[in-house]
Amino acid sequence: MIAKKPPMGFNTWNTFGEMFNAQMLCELADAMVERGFKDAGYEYLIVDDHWEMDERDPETGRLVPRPAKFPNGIKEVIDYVHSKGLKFGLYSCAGVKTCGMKPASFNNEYLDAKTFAEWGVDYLKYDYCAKPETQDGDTLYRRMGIALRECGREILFAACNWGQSDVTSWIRSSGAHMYRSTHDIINTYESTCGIFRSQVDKLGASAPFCFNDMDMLTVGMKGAGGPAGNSKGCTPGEYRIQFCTWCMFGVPLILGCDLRNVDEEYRDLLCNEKLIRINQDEEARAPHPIAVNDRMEFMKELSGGEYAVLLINTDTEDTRKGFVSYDMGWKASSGCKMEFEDVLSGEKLTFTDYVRIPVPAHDCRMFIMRLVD
Amino acid sequence: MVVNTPPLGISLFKTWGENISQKVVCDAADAAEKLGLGKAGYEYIIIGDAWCKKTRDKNGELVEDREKFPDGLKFVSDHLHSKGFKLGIVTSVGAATPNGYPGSYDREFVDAKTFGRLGVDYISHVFCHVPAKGGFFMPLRSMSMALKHSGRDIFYAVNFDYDGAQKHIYYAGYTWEGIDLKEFEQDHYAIEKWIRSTGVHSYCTKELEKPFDPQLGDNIQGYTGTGCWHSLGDIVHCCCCDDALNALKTKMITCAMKISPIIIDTDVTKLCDKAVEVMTNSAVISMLKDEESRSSAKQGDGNTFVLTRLLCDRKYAIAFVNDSDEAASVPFYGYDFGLTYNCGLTCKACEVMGDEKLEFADYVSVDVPARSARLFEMVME
Repeated sequence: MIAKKPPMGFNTWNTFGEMFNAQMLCELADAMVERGFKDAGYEYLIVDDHWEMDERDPETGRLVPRPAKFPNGIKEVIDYVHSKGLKFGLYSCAGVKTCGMKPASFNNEYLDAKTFAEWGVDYLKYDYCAKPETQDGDTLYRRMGIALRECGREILFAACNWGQSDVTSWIRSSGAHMYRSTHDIINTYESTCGIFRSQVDKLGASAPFCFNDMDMLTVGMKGAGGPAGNSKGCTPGEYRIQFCTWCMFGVPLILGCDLRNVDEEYRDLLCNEKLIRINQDEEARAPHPIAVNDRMEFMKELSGGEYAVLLINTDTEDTRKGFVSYDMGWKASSGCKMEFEDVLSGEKLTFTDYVRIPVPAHDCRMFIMRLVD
Repeated sequence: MVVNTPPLGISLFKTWGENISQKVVCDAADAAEKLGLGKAGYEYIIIGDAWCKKTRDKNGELVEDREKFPDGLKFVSDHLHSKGFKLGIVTSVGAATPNGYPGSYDREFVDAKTFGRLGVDYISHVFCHVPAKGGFFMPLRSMSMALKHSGRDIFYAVNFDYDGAQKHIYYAGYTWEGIDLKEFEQDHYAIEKWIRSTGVHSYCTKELEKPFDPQLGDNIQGYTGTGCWHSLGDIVHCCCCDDALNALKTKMITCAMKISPIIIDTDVTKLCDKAVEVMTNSAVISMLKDEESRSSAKQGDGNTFVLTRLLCDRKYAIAFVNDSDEAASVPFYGYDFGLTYNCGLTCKACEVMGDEKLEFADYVSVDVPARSARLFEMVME
């Protein structure tokens, strides 16, 4: 059963764009295993746009992998990725051209799905560029949803229509396992905050087998180039905000940094077991602001009677966030205290009706909350 | 509590109301077992709100009504458990339940402890008599926290279809709980957007009212899914005439297509064979219980339309619906569904609770009687 929990993997786009080849993909697969990403749960190695020739095969009508990037064909790379215990992802688009102007799947959905199945593809990112204006997105995504079901292989369907065309009202019915809900992310603090703030009230339409996708992570990219690159990058605190928010919001975790050389510090953050557990929680509940304000304090019901609490400080000054337990649902009649356990430091705090927590500037703190007698 | 598929259950709430008793509940459980309802997938027996006294004791706790339940509620829950069923009760988000019994407002932790102690497995938390300043989602968050702390796994259902629920969105929800009033007025999605952030497993915004209302819940198919389903409310079934059986059949089909829990409010001891046959139809139930819990897509705009659901294992559910007063021929277009001229696939469909077989690629039309639905299980080749 795929995508019962938010999918986890790596995608070439943020760092590499069109600058990848078979050799690099194999090195990335090696790094994914050797540096512990696979053990942490990252499963899919996804190749984004620009993998194909500029034209389909004139005889068969099939998509053709670019020989310069795949000198021995794409199956060789896919087999290698599988041999490392990973799954392989590829990319197409609901329109007539991909965003990189390569052939896309409009009116070739069933042929392309069969082709991907024969190659051993396990995941398909499905973009929205060059879509005919006189066709509706709902039907086009369902075409590929059905095509992937009928193609002879289990392939995770990752829709990518950037939240357009009233997508939440139909995407679950289309067969998609995840759906991009925003424009593309850039490796800046502003972009990160803009993206997650736009989805705060849209996670009610995210559930097992069809998750809201807030785009790939830029954690660890620092000043590196690529389509999502930015020379400034983000500070460690800002990357913490990004990863903790993506975990809290229960959205797919798709890495965008260069796995081969990302700093140990960021590798550790991205593989933090407790944070990932918050992301992968079985109940897949939506988070909500603790009280209605703009202070970026969220909580989420986890399975097993626990809660996750995320406090984000978007100010340029350190601050202390205070709030009333009543606003979290606690009442004195429970006869219990509340306990906060800091996920990153392990520090524990116990309190009853009020608590105040220091949060550094442009940083965050994530807690597991439980009732204790 | 992790719930993977919508539940099935029997309700005694509307049928028995305040006349509920230990004997009625135990007889219902015995009858349900004999009829094979448990084996077919019916899990919960929901007894309503009238199991307790109308005032709390001096500790503020709910008191079992020992006249109606001489051996107490734990006896009843044990009896149900021994038959493979689970016990549900109705309580109120507000100060009083629909029949005037004490509501859980501000006593969520006290009552959840009582429910745990008495072996309750399901609560229907109805949005009834909620104090004007009582909040909208806050009482649900407290109840969810309390249920999770009760020592028992308890399915948490909420019913907003009571007078005044909408008022609360205006006063409490908007002022304190982040509900965007403008958005609510335009789209009415305020509940749907946030309900998954509470611990609720199923929520009803409007109950099935007409004998047959297949268009209910059409617009919120994005806000229902694994672990928090939009419910169409209880299916009240009280006689064995053709109309009632047709209504039962169409409501079950509607629930299966809209992935709503199926809760049938009835006198189990009086169920006729034909009703039991409909209630226990394994194809309908397995569609409801499909592991991916995908919502439906709709083709057609007026009161005749087709609903389709993508199921696991390359199966599809397709329901031809006629919500008009006259028989009609309902069309279905492969193109609008997602088939293409070059997909190389043919659809083969077998009717559920009927005999027709269909085979088509681009187009098919099915005759559907007035106020009815016809359900098919489909595969492609």
